[in-house]
Amino acid sequence: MDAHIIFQVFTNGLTSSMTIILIALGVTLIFGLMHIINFFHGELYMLGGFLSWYFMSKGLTNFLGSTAASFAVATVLSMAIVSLLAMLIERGPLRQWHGKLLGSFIVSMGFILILQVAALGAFGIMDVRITTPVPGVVTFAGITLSKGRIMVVLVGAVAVAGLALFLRKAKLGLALRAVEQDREAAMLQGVNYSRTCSLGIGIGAALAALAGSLLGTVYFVNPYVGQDQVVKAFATVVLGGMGSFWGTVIAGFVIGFTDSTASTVAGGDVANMLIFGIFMLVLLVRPRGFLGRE
Amino acid sequence: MNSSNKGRLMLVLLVVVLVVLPLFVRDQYVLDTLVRMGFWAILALGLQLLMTTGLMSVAQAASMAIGAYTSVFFVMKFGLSFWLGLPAAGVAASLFALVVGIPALRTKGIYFMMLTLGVSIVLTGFINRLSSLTGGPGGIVSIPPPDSISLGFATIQFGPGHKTSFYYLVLALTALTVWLVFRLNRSRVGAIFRSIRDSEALAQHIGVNPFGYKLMAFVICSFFAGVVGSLQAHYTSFISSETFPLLTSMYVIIYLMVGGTSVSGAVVGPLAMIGVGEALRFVPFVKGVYIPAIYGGILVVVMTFLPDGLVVLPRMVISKLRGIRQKFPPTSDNSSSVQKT
Repeated sequence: MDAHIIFQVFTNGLTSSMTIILIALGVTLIFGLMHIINFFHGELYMLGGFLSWYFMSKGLTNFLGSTAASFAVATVLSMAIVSLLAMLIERGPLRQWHGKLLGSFIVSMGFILILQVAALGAFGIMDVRITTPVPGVVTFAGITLSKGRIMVVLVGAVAVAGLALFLRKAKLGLALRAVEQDREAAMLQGVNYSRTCSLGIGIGAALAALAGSLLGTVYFVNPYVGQDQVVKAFATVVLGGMGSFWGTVIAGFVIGFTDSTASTVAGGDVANMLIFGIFMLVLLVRPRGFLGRE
Repeated sequence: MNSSNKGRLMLVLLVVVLVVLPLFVRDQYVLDTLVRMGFWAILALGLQLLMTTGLMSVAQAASMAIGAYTSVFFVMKFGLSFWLGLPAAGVAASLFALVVGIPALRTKGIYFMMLTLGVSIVLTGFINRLSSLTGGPGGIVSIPPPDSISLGFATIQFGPGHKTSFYYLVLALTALTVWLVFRLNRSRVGAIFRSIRDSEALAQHIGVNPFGYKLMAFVICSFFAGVVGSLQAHYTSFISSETFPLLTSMYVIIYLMVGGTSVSGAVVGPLAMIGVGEALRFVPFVKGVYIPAIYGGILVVVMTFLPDGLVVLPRMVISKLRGIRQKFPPTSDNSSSVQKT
């Protein structure tokens, strides 16, 4: 087993992990804030990917010249749109289900169908691939790594770090954590619950869209990619502890690496069985996951 | 005529209509749609029973798959009669629920649901991996229809030219399931289920073992799903690992919630949704692929404005028409498990 393959498997694992973490963080944030399950989070990821692809392939963001700039603008745009969409949904049908896990889960299923069909109608059923802003490979010490994947990992890491910082230092971030800890106490201190929830889902959606856009450059997007990712994201959230930021991150690496490695070695089915086998074991033995509180 | 007698009359009317329908309607498409409605109704009824204990499962499709493959093996690999395969399917699905439920039901509600999610995905993986046995994604084709029944004076045949027989079979089984679940809901067992849903701690205090009853509900729900799986296999003559995806389980939940978490809701939900879906196929600009979005939209609208489901609509309309403002008291089989407040 030469270093070459090991590094490739490692980067693949990192890429998978980063994607899952970005999506799962949104899920965990939304759960922590509003105590709802939004199963359509995968569709936000999917729409993020599709929108970026759409802007780039239709040349709408090419005005800055380079592919990299085009990709950046397209990604930011798609994040904004998906964010807005999620906030609208939250303010609307989802608002009355705060605190109701079952009800929110059911309603979110409706949105899965709606968003999937919307994507189908708008973008078609075919797999599409986003042109990567960093084509090519980088070689060092005889090991070849795809630049595109490295970009995904780096950008993702920056986003996660940014979120962590935001939650630590920024006033709004602290407000988010306050609501997560104790909604009433936060409100007593002047935190606007409604706006904080909107912010929370907006951030979560933006992260998912970012993941979709990033991953669209190394894999593909079609209306159904959300489903795959969302179940893994939920496995991650449960594994890490629902509502725990770092728990989700750690679990994301575990699941991401397991998924990527097992898929390469034994195929997608075995990977799924392994991941969800672990998932079920954790649920039976320690349902609150690594760092969960409940 | 009071409302209870009116309800009974309508029920009898409905049954009569359904029974004589094939004599007037030769259209295979209509019969086919009704058969599918029957499948979903049975699934929804099983789920309704489970929800009476406060549980939610997304493993219906898994139970269906177990039932389907069991029945297919019985008939195609062991050469037994479909009429043995059908109950075997139910039993196999029940055993599956037992195996899954015994560890899984020790956990809290939301975690139980996640476990059913995991089970669904792992089972799909298994079906794909054991492809030498199950045909994997390619599936098993040419599954024979149910064996003919000879009644001395006539033979009831099943199969492509005889959709009517299958229609009656499904009609009978649906009616049977409705009756069973209705009776269960009204029985002491049903009351115990509801007590567990309302407060498990309190139920324990009055001597109820929640685990046993939850397991019972889960097993019965799975039994129904297994039977439907078998029916579907021998009706469509094809199954594969793709035939029973997670989406199917989600649709059962959606149809049930739209109808309402009651026996009538479990029948009305699939009827209404599939009815709307099929009707829309004839509307020119509505392409078939858009129909799931319409289902999603209906679900969201119903959950937002009518969380008790469509079945409460007639009562609402009637009481509004009478100008009486009253709260709708929940009857023993009509309490909603999804509360807004």
